[in-house]
Amino acid sequence: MKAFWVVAAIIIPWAAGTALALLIQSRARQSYRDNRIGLLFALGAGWPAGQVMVMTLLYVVLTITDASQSRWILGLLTVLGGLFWFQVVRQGILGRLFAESDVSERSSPSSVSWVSRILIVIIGSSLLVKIGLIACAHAVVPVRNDDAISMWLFKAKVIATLDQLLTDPSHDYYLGGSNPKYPVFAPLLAAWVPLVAGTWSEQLATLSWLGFYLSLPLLAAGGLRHWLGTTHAWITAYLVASMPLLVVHAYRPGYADLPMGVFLAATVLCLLLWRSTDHTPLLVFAVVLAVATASMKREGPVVAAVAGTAVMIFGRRHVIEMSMFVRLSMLVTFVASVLTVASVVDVSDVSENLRGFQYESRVWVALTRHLFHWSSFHFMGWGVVAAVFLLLFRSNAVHRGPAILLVLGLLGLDACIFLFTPQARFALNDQTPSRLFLQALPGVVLALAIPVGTCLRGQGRSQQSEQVEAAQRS
Amino acid sequence: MSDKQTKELDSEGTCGSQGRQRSAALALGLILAIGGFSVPSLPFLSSSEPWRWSLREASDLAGATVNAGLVSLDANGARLVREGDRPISVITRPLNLSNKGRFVSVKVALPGNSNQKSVRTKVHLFWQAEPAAGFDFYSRIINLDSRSRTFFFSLPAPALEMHRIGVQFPEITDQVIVESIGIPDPTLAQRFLLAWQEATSPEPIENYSINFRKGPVILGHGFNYYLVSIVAASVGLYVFVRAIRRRPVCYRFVFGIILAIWLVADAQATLNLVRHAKKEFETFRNSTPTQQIAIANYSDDIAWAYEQLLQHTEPGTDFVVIGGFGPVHRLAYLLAPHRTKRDAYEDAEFLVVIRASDVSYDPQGNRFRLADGPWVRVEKVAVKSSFVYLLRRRTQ
Repeated sequence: MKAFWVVAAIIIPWAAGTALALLIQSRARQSYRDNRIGLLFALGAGWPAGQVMVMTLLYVVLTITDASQSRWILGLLTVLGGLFWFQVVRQGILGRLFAESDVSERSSPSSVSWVSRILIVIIGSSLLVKIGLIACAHAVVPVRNDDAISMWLFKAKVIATLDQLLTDPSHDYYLGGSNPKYPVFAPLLAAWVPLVAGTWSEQLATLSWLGFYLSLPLLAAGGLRHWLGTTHAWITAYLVASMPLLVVHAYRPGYADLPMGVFLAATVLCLLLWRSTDHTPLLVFAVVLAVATASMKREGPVVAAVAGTAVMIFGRRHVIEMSMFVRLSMLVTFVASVLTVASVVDVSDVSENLRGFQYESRVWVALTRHLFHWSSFHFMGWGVVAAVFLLLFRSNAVHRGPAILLVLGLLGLDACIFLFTPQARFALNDQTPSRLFLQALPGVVLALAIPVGTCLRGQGRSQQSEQVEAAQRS
Repeated sequence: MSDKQTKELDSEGTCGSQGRQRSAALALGLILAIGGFSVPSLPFLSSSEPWRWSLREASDLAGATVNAGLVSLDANGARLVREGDRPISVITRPLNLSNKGRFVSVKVALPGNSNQKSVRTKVHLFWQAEPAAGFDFYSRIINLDSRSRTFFFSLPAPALEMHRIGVQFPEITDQVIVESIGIPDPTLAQRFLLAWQEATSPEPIENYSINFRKGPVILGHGFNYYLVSIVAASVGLYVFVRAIRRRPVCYRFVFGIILAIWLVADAQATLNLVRHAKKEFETFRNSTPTQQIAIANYSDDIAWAYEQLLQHTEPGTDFVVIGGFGPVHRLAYLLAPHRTKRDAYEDAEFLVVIRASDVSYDPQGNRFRLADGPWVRVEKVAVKSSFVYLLRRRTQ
């Protein structure tokens, strides 16, 4: 019976999120004829979407009642998911999706290339090995002693065991205990499966991290197909999912950086999809994901604001073209999001850090060590620099501006946190820089892959057409 | 100007532009290729004056730090034995070298290993850049046996930038003979062998690995040093050849080169994960829940204290842990929320002491205090050793 509840706690939110993502992207397909966002994107975005539903409902119910009512929440999610899927089936979305993907696969020259096939097999095998090892580690290896236990999983254990979120500041377990300034949403995600299963277990608590790791390549491969085609989208998905520190965060789950990185990547992707399709529900979806990003960690609000600003600066035309009603709705959504984040995330630590403003030059060495010399991200740091350099000379690349601004904004923010605040000590002792880069890099890589990939595809297409023309001439 | 003249001028302009592009591509390709090939070859070709510290007489140990019991010291080296839980380690005296070498050699043997089978064990090479600075380290797995063998390690910076260097044997519980530590000038073959060993040596996933992955350190340089150089060399060579043949550069091919190198890096990291996971699965599958707690927390003491607190306390009681950061936070997590950790020992009902240096416990007088704090009356509940015990505070 416990196994049933565990499976239900994982599958039902995911299924609901997937249906929601299918509905959103289906409308986008209608408004943009060449849209090739598919089931993969829905599956990938479905996990973070489902987790947003879970943590929102859990937080609301826990703060207004004395218990989580987790199985009632599961029931509510089942109803919601059922309604979404009913709409998906009624609109014939799945049938169209498969029919169109068959056509696009057959008509795409890259899909028949044996090099592409071998490459997909290699990267698919590599991803499967990693996922298999991570899944086995979840089943066999208990959580090792580190900070994740003292902060994130401690709260999750208290919430799941007491089935309560104590809101009395004088209580030992106020907001789950440990450090009350740490946002409670990542622990709520960890507490979800144990709450539904009715028992605390580290293995159950960290299942969410496995879901986040799985969703990232699906999100990338599905979302980027819109611009890059299947092979390049999968290559990008592989590059993101094979960054060693990301794998370690899935293998040794418990830190909030991996969920935050996935929420941020999903936010960036949805914002760029909105910019390409002008489909407002994608923008609303992106705002919701940005709120989730902001709620994960104390630095989350600033990170989400930087990512949103970087894309929206280049989305002014799209906003101007919106109807007045849509613009007002978006303004209300935006204000509501800001108020939500302000009310649920304690940013007093951030303000305190800003008050301790001072420049620490030694941090540069530590930052370059983490981004360029060490293997936390293989040589992705160098790749990001090379990609930005390439884009400086490619004025016609798709989403060039937002991509460059995202790199500068997100990585610059991470650098500034260490260079100008008392957080410098955590760069000098090598404790935090790679983890902050880990939050930003999946989103940054997805954003850069679009302009760089379209350059590659553009050149590939022009070369193919040249070959065809040459053959015709001969 | 006639149409013909205009066309000729346009054609000359285009040719000039193409010529400039070709020259730029040639220059860029050549620079990348030369730089890319020469940078990774430097660690293999550099040479330096060798230096050696032999451990034979008492005077050799002056100024050095030996964290172990010294069993004997003779021409065979220093025979060391582990003292308590502290791993055996040997640290040189302040070096003050002008040597630019980036290699360390350690000549070592396992005297107690009489069955001639080599023992696979972890060795830490650590170093201190300045007198007041902390020690940094990296680990390697080596095979030790009863014969004296020389193992090479690489340093992340030239020896002249090192204040002190040392080795530690965290997994050796028996004796070790350390014959010498040196800054050698290895032959090319030795360097290739060392590079291969370091590239294929597993990097353990420890609790600090959640913060960063260093990757293999090969001849004193990180993995990216070589990978990025190889990418630069390959791309440079490709661009150069295309420019000579007057063909445009295909960015897909360039991306293919980068992807191929990434696949190599990923294969190394995945293999490392497979090896680590295999070892970890075996360890945890064959251990009891108590052993699992001990392994997961790198401490038998925590597992013991957890069991004792569960056994001797009722839900709703509180306790204080007097020990380092690890035991305090881990026990708080393991026992929450039914048993609550307190910060002040005067407030808690139970007191767990785990290797705390600043405590005074008087078993005869049944009293306890931390540093200069107030004495509290206690009774002994359970004892693991003179450093690890559980007390119950008596109400007056």
